[in-house]
Amino acid sequence: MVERARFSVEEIALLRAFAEHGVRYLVVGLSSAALQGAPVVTQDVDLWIEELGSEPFKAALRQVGAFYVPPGLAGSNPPMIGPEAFRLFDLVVDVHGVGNFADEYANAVEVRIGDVPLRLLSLKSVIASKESLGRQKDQAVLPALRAALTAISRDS
Amino acid sequence: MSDKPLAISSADSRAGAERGSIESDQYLQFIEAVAEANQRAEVIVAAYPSLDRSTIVHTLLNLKLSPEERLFKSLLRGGARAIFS
Repeated sequence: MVERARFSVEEIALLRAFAEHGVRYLVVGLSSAALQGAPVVTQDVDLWIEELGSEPFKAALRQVGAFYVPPGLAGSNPPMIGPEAFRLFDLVVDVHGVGNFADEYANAVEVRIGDVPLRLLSLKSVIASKESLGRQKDQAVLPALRAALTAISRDS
Repeated sequence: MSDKPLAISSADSRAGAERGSIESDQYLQFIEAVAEANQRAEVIVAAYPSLDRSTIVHTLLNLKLSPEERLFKSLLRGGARAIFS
């Protein structure tokens, strides 16, 4: 049944537009871990954009009929991409416990969804970011991430 | 999915299919993939006893899927995406 689930037309168009406009981003958090094979559960795809609000970023959004909602514009909202068709994606301003964007981008894992490249925060860095956070939900997932990292390392 | 118990041995499962109890190439492929993952997981756990064997098995099975399939398996279980959306 997994085979029936795919990115929507709008979602893949946005990722393609990012590539076309040269928007540098990383998929981070558990969605990155899942894309790399870790058996974890997540509810969204977190994107760490290098230059949030930059013209290429906004141009990519315009190309697919999306828009950027800056933080605080609607109450205490975090930075967001609208409208509803793009709600799968959450925007992350910074990632704790890892290097700066350029360093992590250089060490990223690249996968392809059809013809669209996705760059992923390495699983090692996902673990480092979870370790740096004191939240219970982050600590709880660490054993699974560490086991997955070992299995993936041994598989390659 | 069959409600028959899953065999651990791929040889046993193949024999079962040949008897006509389960005539599905997909079933055989699945059983063989699980058996292979379990064998490899045993080796990894022997080297790293603190790691969870089940997580390693699921990871090795996930590596046989495309990245997109891995992600949406995760999202489906997180309730973020319906199967037929």
